[in-house]
Amino acid sequence: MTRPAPAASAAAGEPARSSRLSRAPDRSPVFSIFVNQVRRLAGSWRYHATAWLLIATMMAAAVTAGASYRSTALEQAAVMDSHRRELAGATVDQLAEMLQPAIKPPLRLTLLVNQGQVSTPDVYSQALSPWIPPEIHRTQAGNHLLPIQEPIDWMFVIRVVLPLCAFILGYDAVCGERRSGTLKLLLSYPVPRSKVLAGRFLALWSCLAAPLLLGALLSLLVAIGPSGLPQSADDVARVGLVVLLGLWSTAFFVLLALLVSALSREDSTSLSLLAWLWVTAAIAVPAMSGLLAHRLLPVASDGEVAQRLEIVAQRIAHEYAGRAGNWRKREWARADGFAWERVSAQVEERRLALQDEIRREALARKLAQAELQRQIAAVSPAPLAEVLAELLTGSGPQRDESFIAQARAFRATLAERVRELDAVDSESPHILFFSGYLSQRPVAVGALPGFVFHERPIGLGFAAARPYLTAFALETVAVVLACLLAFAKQDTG
Amino acid sequence: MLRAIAKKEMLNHLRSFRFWAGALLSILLAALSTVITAPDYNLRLRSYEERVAGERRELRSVSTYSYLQPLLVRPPERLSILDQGLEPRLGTEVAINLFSIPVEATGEPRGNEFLASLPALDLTLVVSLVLGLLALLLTCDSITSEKEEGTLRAILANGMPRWAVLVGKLAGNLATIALPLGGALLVSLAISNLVVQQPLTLDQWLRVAGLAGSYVAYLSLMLLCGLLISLYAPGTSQALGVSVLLGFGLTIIIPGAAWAAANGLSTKSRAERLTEQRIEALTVEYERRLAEEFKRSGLRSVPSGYRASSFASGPNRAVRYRNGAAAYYDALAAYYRFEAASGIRYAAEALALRRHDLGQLRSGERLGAALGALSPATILYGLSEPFAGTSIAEYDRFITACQGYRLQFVAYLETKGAFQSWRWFTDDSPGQLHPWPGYFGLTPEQVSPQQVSLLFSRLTEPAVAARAMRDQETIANDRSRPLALRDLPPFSYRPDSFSGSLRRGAANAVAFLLLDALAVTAAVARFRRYELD
Repeated sequence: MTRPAPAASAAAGEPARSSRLSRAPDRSPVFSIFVNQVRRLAGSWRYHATAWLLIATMMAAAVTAGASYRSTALEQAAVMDSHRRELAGATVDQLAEMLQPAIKPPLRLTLLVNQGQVSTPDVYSQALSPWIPPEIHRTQAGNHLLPIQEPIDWMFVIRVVLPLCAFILGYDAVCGERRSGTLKLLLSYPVPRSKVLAGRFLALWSCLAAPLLLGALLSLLVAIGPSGLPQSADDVARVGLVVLLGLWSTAFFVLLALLVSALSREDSTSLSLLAWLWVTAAIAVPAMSGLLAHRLLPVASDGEVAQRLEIVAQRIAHEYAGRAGNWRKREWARADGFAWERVSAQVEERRLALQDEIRREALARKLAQAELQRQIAAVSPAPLAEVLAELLTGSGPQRDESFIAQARAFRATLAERVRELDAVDSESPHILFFSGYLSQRPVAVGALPGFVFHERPIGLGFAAARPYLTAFALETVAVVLACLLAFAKQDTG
Repeated sequence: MLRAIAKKEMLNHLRSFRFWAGALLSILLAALSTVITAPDYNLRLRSYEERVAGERRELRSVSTYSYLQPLLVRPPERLSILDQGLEPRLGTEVAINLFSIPVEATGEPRGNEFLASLPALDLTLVVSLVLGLLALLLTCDSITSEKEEGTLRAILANGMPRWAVLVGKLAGNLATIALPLGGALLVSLAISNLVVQQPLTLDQWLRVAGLAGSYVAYLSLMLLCGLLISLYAPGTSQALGVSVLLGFGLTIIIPGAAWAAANGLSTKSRAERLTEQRIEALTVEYERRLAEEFKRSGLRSVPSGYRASSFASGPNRAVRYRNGAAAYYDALAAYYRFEAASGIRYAAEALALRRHDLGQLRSGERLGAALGALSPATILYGLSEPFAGTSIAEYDRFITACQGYRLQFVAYLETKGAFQSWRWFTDDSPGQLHPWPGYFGLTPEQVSPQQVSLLFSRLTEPAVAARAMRDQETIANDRSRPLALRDLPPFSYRPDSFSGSLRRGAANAVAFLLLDALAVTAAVARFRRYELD
């Protein structure tokens, strides 16, 4: 088997490097290897292809994230507008049956990590009346006839594109040189193998980090216009954290490429092994995680929840048969001081409380399933980085959980305010909150509190991210050790 | 000689690491995904059967025609285990009534809107991603490596025409990739047959064959792409790198970008909001006319001793009255004839409005498919989904069947004279009337309008209530009250047959054939001028 072409070219390039190594003893060998490798990589087509791919996908992320941010904001504004129109001139009585939307604004850092927030519900509408069930939905629904698409964001680039680039750049970093014989020459110099490895690693890493950082900078510049991000010091810190995470992931995948390259006998073996690793880690595991979470922690379908709610309603109706459910016209009921209506209202409140518990549990289970999906996906290092980014940016199921909790608290605040508004009207029978039995006075514009969503503070994210950070750190250390070991045992053959 | 080349190609691959790693990975992923999706199918099947049985029970107790609103349920698709398509995203239930024409099914099966938007793994995804990449990796250096090793010259020295060498290589690679494809398909089928206690019908087997055929068509195109890379790449190392990048672009980036673009251009909400506003205006006008009509007769609008109480009102204007007098029921019957007639008209008008935004979603979906046609993976989805019965077209068939059933249902109600009779709104028959003043020992005529509110509020007094309760019990136990619905037309819906699926996938099958032919021509033309040095 003859492979004249690559061996000859590598040998021709070699004297320059060996003379550099011998001529500059004051320079650290790591640095020399680094410079040499960077020069070689920067001239290759592979480097241009991967760098452009990285920058292009990050720019695509900026464009799509900006568009999604704007359209979501528009849709939400439309919802609030129609709600404001509905509120204008409404009486306290009419308020009771009105759905009051609590809106979760689009994530300001949607460019960074969008996946967990791009399709989850952002409107939680609740009425004060127990007769009106709450509604939870997504304003910007998209086209459900199209297949599920993963939004392109920084974390998509870091999870899917970056490992691919690292593998394509690094698959022959060791085995290619062994084949061409340059490795033997290199290792014959009195330089510790770990330093040779370090030089290689730094070269590959910086070659990937440069386009990643450039892409990040450019995409931020593009996205700042439409979505106004980042806005606060916290946001800046979050962007910094995600960039650091990207650099860390780059290091991890470069090390993995070096490891596989050191273990493989041939280039093609190394690349195909890395290709299969990539398919598994970046695509198959996340695609499997949702299905697996569904199996392990099934959630009730809407129909089943409706059935449970109905059972409660029937039980209550049975319990109070003949004693409740009497709602007379106001003028008829005034005579006995709304005696039956008050009883009926209590029964309805009780039913609402029980049904609310069922709804809350169903929602909590869905959120738990979403979190389980993250945990399963985090088995693979690529999605692990994404889960980390979600936690550090305050995105993902935690944001939804916090939104639902805040929306529920909002209903309580609203109820308190409407109670006060109703209390000042002596004409009202004060049967809260039943339309027809409340104050008929109009509510002044601005008399009701509005819902303001508070993002999760960055510290909470850190606390939740700790186990994942530890896991990622351990995985990185393991790959470093394995790399060192594989390199130390390298048979220069 | 051709066979020798094919055999050598295959044996070479069978000794290679990349083949075995890819083959095992694809079979493993296919097995894992089926282990998850097959029990999920069982769950959906059980839920379907429960809902159908529940609906049958419900129908037995219906006593007025307005309460008769059959619930049509879409059965889960058996082959969705192999290719989920749109199955998990689209609704499964359609309620049939006079006042709306179904355009969408509701009741998403066990969806979780809080899950991240990730594609779900199924056999088709395994084929398109893993086997597609394997196909590229198998052929991408089949010419370059032979050139580098010098064996190409030896083969061509045999005097074989160059195209025959290419064909031999292609045949060998096709046979190689058929191994993991067959393995993955067999493993998936075996697991799904073990988990689902329901044998595949002949038609389903044919559709599985169609699925297998679409996989082969896709993989042969990917093999040809690899071969083209090999013919143009200067060396093995470049060929490998390019093929991995190309695989990524063709299976992930292009479909994703196409769908994202189509989604951005056809968002549901904007069109929907406009339509909702128009439908709301239509509804307000419709309600206004109904209220006017209701008020036209003094008997209906003014409280009196004749008046019946409407006990419960179900969805879509379902009503049931009891404890009324004959004169009141006659007045109601006149009103409900009007309501039914205008309701049918209203439904048609609302459908016309809704068609507009549905059309927008459809055109968005078509745009996505058209843009995605740049990638063989999207063409594969367009071909495999009809065979699996999980395509949009299949969902449309269901909705069309539901709309057809609604017409049948309206015709049934008309033949039964449902709109003309009292039976639309009450199960009180002229021979069995119990007007409510009876609970106070009065006849309807004896109650003056001024007394009505006082007497109404006394209905819950213990003694009166007990009398009313006894009456309710008699009514509940009255076997003659529920409607005899034995002749209600049954709803039958079957997934599209093999030939139907074939017709739906025809465009994509032709696209594969054309692209294959194009790639073969390009490869042969390039190989004819291929330099051996």
